[in-house]
Amino acid sequence: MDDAGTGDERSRVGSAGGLTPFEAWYRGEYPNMVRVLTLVSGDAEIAADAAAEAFTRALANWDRVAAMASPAGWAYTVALNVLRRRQQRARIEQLIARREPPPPPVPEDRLYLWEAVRSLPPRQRTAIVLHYVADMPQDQVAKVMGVAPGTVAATLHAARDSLRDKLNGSDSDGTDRP
Amino acid sequence: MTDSARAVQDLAAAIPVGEPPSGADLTRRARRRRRIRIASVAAAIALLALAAGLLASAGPQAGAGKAGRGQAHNQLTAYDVALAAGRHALTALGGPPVGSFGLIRSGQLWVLDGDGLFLTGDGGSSWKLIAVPGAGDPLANYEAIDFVSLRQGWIVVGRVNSLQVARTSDGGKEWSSVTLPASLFPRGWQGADVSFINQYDGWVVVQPYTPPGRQARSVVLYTTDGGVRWTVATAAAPVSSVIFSSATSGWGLGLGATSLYRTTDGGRSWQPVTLPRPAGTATGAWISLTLPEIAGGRAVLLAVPARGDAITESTGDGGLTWVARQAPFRGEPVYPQAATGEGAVCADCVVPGDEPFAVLGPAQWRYWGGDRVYTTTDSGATWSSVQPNLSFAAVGGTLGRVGVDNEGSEPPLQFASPQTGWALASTSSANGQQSQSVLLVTNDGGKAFSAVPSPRG
Repeated sequence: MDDAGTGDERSRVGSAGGLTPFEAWYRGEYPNMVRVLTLVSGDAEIAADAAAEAFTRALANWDRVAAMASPAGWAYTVALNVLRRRQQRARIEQLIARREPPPPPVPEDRLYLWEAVRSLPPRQRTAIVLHYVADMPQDQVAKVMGVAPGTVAATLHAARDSLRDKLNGSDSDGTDRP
Repeated sequence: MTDSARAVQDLAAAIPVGEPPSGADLTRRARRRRRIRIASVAAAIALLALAAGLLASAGPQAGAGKAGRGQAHNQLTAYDVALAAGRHALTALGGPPVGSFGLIRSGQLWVLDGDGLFLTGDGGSSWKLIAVPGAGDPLANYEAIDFVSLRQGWIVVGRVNSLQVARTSDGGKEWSSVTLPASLFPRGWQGADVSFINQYDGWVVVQPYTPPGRQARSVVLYTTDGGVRWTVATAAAPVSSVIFSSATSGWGLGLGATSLYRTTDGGRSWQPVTLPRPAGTATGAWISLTLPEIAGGRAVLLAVPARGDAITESTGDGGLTWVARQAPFRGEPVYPQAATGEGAVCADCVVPGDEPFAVLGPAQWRYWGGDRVYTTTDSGATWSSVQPNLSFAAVGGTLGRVGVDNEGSEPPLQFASPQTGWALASTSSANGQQSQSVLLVTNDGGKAFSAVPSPRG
């Protein structure tokens, strides 16, 4: 497949609104993906780069991705894998070059939330933002994270408990949608 | 909807998101990726052509060829005291080679980046650079590394569509490489591991790229001549990384790091291992397992079921009987990124391998959990713990608490002796707004850790 050609061809046969199916999907998914990856990684720049990389791969394989049951699930999986590598690289760069880590990308009045979410273990953090920010059902979170659905349920439960403790509040509803 | 969920959504909404890259930007990026792939293939062809006269058969199954003598770095000295078994401290890194760090048997440390291996033999006061194959090549990734002696080591160097196993027998002065046949991973690869038990017998595990919905399986190759020739043991292994105790007996960590396998025929076949659970611990699927470490004839691993229990598992008879004990700390699982074969896509998998769990001997283990270092000397029957004193004077200033699991990866913790150990910690300020990766060393068994100066000063 010609990566560039795919996009051009689709542009010519684009919808009445002027957007190709890929572009419409991409523009709809991009903001949430960047937010999810920012919360997972703590680094908005790495998050935006990982999102761009995931959508680039989706564009290059759009015929196949579009036919999937969940193109977004595929894109999030790729993005999280890319993110993981970018983070490792950033850690080593910080270590070797003493680079300053990025500041939190949220307003001051949200710093307490930022700290609470960032203090969650990586798996809990990933699960909770995929579920509540990317709005994925638990079985899809399980597929994206490569774990069993029961693991996701347990992880979400632990994440909510931990967040509740950190925020000194009490959840009004201990149950969750599947 | 819970208050916690609303808080997460509220926080997400407060994150500013810029304009997405235009379709043209993505197209350009896709073209660049395609050019890199083409360049990689061309480079591999050129390399093979240059090395054609030196190619040696790798056996009928593998077809791997000896790619000729690697770069000879005459300006570099062996730095003999530094190179030694740092296995599994390196995880896969994509893109331009940046590297990782590892801990070594004699109390020395290496840091691998795009320029080569930085080695220290004096606790980080001074560093020496040893070039390795792929150094300076923006297309190369270091996928795995293993050393069995001060002089004998192997590094798996990955490029987009190729994998090379480089070996040295003189502490890094000279390297030779074998390119694994691309026919083993026709759609590309997504992870690799290397493990040797002596200067002759070793294994490489390659995870081919697996399309969505397909069952992921790895290729296991073995060598009996130190890596000159590689032969396929199986192309259907359910494992991502391996460790062997003899030429026939070994353990494999399942894809996804949630299952354990055993081989008794040198990696040709793999049987799933059922690990016992202490009474009162969570049931259900494992969240994560560590690859066993072998010490004094015992294989030891840390298992984490749901709910975050931590269970030490050890066996001294090849897995016939296990001793499973719940540990007093909370198990923070290795984040599994490997494909599970259950539909997860893994475009750039990394191999789990860096854990805050150190096996010092058959009965002496340590774990860094939260702000405490836990130690057992009786196979997990009893544990003691200390809150280590931390000094960051060597890297300038004082940082706040150490969050060992806040940056997306568990900190490797390894001990070269009961007294000397290393950790890679993520430190953060008291309000959590700043974090920094810092190498730490202890010389008193974990009571105190001090930061190690950067290799680059």
